[in-house]
Amino acid sequence: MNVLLKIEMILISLITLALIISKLKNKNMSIKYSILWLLLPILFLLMALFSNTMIQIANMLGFELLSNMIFFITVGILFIICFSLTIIVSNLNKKIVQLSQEIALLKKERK
Amino acid sequence: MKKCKFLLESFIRILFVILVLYIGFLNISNLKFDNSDKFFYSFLLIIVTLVIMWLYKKKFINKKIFWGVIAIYLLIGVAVRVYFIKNLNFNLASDFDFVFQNAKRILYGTLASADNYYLSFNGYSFILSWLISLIFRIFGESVTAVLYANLICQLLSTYFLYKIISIKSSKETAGILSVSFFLLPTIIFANLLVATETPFILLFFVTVYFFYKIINRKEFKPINFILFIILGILICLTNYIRPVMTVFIIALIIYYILNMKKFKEIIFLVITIVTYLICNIGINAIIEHNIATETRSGALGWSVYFGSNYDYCGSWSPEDSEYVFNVLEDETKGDKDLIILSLKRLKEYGVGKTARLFQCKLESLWTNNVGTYGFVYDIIDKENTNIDFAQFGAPFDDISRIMVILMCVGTAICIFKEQRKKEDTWLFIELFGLGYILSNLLICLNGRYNIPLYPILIICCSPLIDRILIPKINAKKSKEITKPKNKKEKTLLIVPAFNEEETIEKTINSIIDNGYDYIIINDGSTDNTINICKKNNYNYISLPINLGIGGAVQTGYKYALENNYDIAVQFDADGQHDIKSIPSLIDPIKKGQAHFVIGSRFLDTKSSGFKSTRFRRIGIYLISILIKCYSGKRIYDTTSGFRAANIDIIKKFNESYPSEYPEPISTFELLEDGYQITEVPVKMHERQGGNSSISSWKKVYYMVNVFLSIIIAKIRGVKD
Repeated sequence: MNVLLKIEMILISLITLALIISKLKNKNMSIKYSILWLLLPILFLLMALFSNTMIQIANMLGFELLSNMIFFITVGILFIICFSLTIIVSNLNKKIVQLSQEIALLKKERK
Repeated sequence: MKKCKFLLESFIRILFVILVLYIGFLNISNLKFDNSDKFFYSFLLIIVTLVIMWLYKKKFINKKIFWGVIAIYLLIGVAVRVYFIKNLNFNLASDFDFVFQNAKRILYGTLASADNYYLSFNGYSFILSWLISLIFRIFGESVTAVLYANLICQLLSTYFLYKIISIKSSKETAGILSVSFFLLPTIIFANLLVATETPFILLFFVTVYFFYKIINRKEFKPINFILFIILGILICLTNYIRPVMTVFIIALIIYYILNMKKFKEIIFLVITIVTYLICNIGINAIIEHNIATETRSGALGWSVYFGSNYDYCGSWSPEDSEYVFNVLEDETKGDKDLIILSLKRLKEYGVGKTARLFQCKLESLWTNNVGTYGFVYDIIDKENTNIDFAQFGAPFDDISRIMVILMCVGTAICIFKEQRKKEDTWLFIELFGLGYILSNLLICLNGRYNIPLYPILIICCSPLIDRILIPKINAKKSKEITKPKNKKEKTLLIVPAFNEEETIEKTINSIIDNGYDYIIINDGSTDNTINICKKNNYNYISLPINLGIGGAVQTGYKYALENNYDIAVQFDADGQHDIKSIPSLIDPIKKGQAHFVIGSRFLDTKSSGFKSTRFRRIGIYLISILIKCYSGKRIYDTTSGFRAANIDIIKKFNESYPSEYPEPISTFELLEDGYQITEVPVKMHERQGGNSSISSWKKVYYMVNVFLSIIIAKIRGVKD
């Protein structure tokens, strides 16, 4: 892999890591949901540092180029993140429904 | 006035950072990624160094580990250099072996035996080369000995760089910066280890260090005189940095003129200046005697004060360069490809000067045949890595002379002002460095002349790095323990319950029998728990949705705060906790010894009764070690739900309580904020009914979550 590309990947993954950790630090994001997001920068770091090993793995898995594998894995992780977010949103929705019903009933009792 | 100085300092420091980036960028573009691997590893090294410094700042690693890392850096640097020395393969393809052997002979032979070659070593300091050759007579004409000597010079340079930086910055900054300076060139310039400039770098550092020592001696003692003389000789021995080092002499002169009290000192000063002049004139005489006629620069007057900084065609003896050139011509027989290849090889192994030499020769002696040999010009120009032929001619043109004069004046003013105010003279070193860098920028920007640049930049950037990256030593503020207002403290037992229909009745009855206040938090149970509570008229709160253990317990703390309780105790509804242990649990809070008490199963092995499964015990042990690493306190039972809190903690938990796996995370956050935590041994029974709230599949996720939370809490730092 080209040296400039490697350096760019390292820098971008470090910046992304710093971004995620700063959001965690300020309690804007909870740790439960950040684990998946942390996977992406760590994957990029691995790609940059061990690019030769990664190229071998890609060839073994049947990918022609390393970049194809990177795209595939990245899209896969994003898919998992979106999917889990959908599940979380459904659960939240359910809880909101329950809460609204409780509040309505309480208001009735108060009167 | 103080603000002016602060502004000046900040301005100089920012200027340094910009210069570092600019020079670095220029060098990067010069490299054109030819040595791409080396460049990448050096980039990695810089990142790793920055990460280590950040970890040290956030107290993830302590001093011992930090210094251990520095020692590892040193060892790696030495190992890599020794490896290069052992494997330095001067045997090129047999076509060029002979040519190269001769170049090597000239380069290193000059160091190894002064008799034959000292006169050809006239681009460098005569005295120094003679001294070194004297030493290496013992080893014979051994190239390896020279290289090991270079290694020792580099180690000593690192040490002196460390001493210089640690004048103003902390020892840790000095350590890591000087060791990075040692390690980094190994990776970028593997051929630096064969460079003959290393003794001069060492001399440069030693001179700066001595100069700083002299400047800071407030009284004039005889030792100053000796230091003066040594300094004068040292400055004369340094080669192309000698002109700039002259600034020191002039600054010293001005300093002592302004501060002299006794007549004796004038004599010492005069002797020093005379020594410097003799050495300098002597060297210049030899250089003048031996230079070729192609280019000559500067009147003798300039060279006396500023030394000679020549890099011209004839800096090698005419005989030797003629010899090598003839050999090359014979070997290659004018074959274009062979000439190019041989020049490339010579360049790779650090004898770029020979390549330049050939070009110069070609220009000057073969002007008639420029057509035939002009192609070399093109080729070398296109390659253009680390060789700038514009360096030809005297580097000391008018602009740089003016720079040097300005530097002297500026330095003198600085010393004058700072000595008057009795402040330290660090700013002076920075100004000197700035002047040196600027003058170098105007002269030449690549190749060997850059070598002193890096350490100067490191020296001058170090206070800035120090301020940013080294932690200030703030003792953790330990919080005061609020004494309860009433004489009799009100204690509340918080009983979170989720589907505990089998055991809830027995537990609550035992609580009522022992006379404690309690509140049941029903966390959205789906079984009969709520009916049992209604039937027995227990005191309970029913949450509309399931919040988990964190949310339920936090509700309990909110209830405690609203109803003015002084002590809150978390008590499980499944009968695992022993009601009789509560007095010993709240005892430290009543006595005012602690904010928070944890009931531990692992403190006293005899009386604790049931301990959990083996797997859980290992997990608990790992978390306990983690907390010990990052906060210094060993908590033996990190997941125990049997805890007591006083009014301060009740207020804190009211605001924030972790929602998942709250026990270890909340403990760690309390430790980070400076609250006092103690552990007491308690009895726990086996779970009498129902299921544990943590299923077996989630245990890995548990560990990951806790680990991350602790790291984030650590990064958050101490909150005021």
